[in-house]
Amino acid sequence: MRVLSQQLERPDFCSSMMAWLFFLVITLPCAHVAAEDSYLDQLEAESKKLTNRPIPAPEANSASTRVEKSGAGLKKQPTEGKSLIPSPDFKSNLAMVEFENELKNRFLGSFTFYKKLPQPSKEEVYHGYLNGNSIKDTRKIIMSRFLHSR
Amino acid sequence: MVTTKRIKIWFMLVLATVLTSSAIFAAEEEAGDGSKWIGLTANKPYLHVIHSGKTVKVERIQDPNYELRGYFAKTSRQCPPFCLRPMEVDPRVKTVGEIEVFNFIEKQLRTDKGLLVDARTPSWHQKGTIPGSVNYPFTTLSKGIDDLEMEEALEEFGAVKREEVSAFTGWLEDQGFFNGDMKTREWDFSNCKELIIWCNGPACGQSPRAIKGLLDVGYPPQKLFYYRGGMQMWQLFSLTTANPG
Repeated sequence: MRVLSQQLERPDFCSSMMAWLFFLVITLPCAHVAAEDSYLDQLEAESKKLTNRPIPAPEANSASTRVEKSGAGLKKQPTEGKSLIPSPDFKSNLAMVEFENELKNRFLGSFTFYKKLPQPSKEEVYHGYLNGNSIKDTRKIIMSRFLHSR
Repeated sequence: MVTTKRIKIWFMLVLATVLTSSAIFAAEEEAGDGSKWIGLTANKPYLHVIHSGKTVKVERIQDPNYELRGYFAKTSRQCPPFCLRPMEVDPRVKTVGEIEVFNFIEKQLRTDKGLLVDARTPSWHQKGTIPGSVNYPFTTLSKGIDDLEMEEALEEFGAVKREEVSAFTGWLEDQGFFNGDMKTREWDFSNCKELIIWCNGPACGQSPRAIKGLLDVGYPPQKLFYYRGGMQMWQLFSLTTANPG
């Protein structure tokens, strides 16, 4: 204890301790930032190894959505010729009520299943239509929702 | 007359028995080894989700001999930094698997009460993601409460920035009154969304960092879920992925 108190009384000891403290205060956050940067660099380098852009699934409901199956090398081909624009006999950008009326008037069978769907599924069907699903796809989704809703 | 009626009843009974048993056989055949469709679960053949404004069908590859190839088929990566992570990010945050993700997509996502968060950096997200996911990189979600990007993310998650809270109100909230466990002095998380946060898989540290960042700013842990399997398990089960590009 006496030695320590003697050391503390020495001005050169105090100044060197201060210098060490200053060094630690400066370098610790820098080391942390450097480690973070290194992690990000390694992440970026690793992401470059991921080159297998999966292939669009034929079941996708739109040609522009690049829906894929996982993994590379699948033999399935992209959907071709599926229109993003709703069928010409079905007006585009209808409000939900109008869309339902149109469905009722033109596709009573599909409408029968549609009206039995829970509200979130109805909204999903409607949003799909707004986003360009063809009527064929819209009807397919209605059936799928109806058959698999729980 | 009575005999004819009896015959009719017997006939109806036999018919009903035959129909019921054939339905049972059909169901058994569908569920058994002879099944042709590889579903997401025994009761869920596939599901639909809105991704980037389009409907995407999530299903499995219908080939029992299919084998995963490419990056996510690799068994080992440099450790550190890509070391295996524990099952739990935080004792208060629940870890979930694929079935919980399916249910989340069908419930919380459709009702806008939840978000599937891809916490990877954009360079990963651009090369394929789980359908229905939105990209909030961990670099954003681990920023401080005063960072603008973090504030924007919190607002999009349904949190509301609060006006100045009086010391008394703050004290009451600390005691658990006025829904205090869902509030900090700066943010009200009462109506925030449930988040399933994921990244590349069990050896990925991006989503754990995002979760820790959100916990640090006061996001309620009961509204956070960690999908540890991430992209690696999603692809291992040959589930549909979507490309944001």
